[in-house]
Amino acid sequence: MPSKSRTFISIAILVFLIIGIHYLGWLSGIENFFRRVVAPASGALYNFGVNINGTEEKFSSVDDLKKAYQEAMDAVLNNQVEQTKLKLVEQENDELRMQLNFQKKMQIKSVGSEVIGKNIDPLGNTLIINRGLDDGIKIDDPVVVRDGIVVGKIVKTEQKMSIVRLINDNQSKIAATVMNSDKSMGLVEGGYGISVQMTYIPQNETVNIGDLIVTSGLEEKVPRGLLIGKVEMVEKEAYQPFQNAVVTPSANLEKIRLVSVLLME
Amino acid sequence: MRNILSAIGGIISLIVLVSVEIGLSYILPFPYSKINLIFAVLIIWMLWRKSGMVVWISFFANFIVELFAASPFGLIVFSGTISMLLGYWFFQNIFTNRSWFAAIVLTIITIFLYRLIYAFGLLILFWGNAIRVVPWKMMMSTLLWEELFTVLLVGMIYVLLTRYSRQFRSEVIEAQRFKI
Repeated sequence: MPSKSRTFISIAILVFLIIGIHYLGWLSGIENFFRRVVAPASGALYNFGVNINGTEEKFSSVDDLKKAYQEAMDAVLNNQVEQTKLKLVEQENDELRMQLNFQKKMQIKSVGSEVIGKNIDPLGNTLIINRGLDDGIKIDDPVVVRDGIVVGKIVKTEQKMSIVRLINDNQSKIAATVMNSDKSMGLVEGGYGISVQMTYIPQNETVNIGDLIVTSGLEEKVPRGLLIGKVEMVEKEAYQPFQNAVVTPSANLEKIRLVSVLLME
Repeated sequence: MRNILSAIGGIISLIVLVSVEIGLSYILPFPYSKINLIFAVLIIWMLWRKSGMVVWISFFANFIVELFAASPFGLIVFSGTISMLLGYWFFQNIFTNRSWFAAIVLTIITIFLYRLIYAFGLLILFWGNAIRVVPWKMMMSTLLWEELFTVLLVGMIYVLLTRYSRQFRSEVIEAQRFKI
């Protein structure tokens, strides 16, 4: 066998071997070392990215735009460094209070966590949070923001870090209910850009624009009643057994900094 | 002592490279965020040092990147390392002249192979029910933007290096080749 082919095969075998050793858990020490070293930089850069990229807003009408412009003008007049800092602290405080109130109301144990990164491979939309197995987080635990708006589920968890699959990820599926008179059931699926779609809604049930979508509780680990979003559009074809609804998530999935993971036993 | 210091320096450089790669993907808006800094730096490094060490650097860099990815472990490490190995083979046997053309073509080929092996890995995972869907559309758009911006970056670094360093000047490359 030529030496070049031999080198190629030996490197490929070595890579496979290391992947195998990873799955046996023997590399966890080295992996945790690199995670601990890179995570602070990742967190800082993620927050910086949210700050500089999170300035774009979408407006549904001219009135909204005018209102936002007026608000922006007011903000500019009062724009002082100290006030901005104070505002940020207040927002964070409100967010944490809302999450705390929600947790008390739901009587489900939860863990607050900071977002330290997002997906870097093209496989989907995910977030990296700084809590993991050590905090009791398990795969499929739901992740919420503010007062119970579901943003995703845990897909991967390590000692001190977890990965959240967002609801707009192309592999995400959550059992949901429309808050209409029929309490229509369906499946909220990602893979449609910033919006999500609710599929498998029976054709004979009435879904209106503006109806709220919440989790149905039919999944083992996702409690009933967590807000997902609002119906923006209904797609109904006479020859299809089911209708679909385009749903706008209630949380801005591009600007998440703090989340709560609901610890489902 | 010197070996220990150079090993520590290597690890620090690797961590910085990966952190900057991750940071760029967070800070830059789409499609600029698709730039692949690791491949750009490694291809320039390969042309500069003519060393097979790039394969191992690629392995360790992709290993760290993989720790922050949602994809099943091994997908990024395997595709990243094997594509760099093939890229190095192309450099040693076909695009050997270290010109700007070689830099550009090597970048295009290596990134294409990276995404090809990645897609093949995804297909295997899909057949094994480890993932539910293969996002072909997202993969294609990532490949195109990644190729475009990484090629531009490699081109820019190459131009800067030919201006400020002797290593990439054509007369030096010719002299090295014919041992003048």
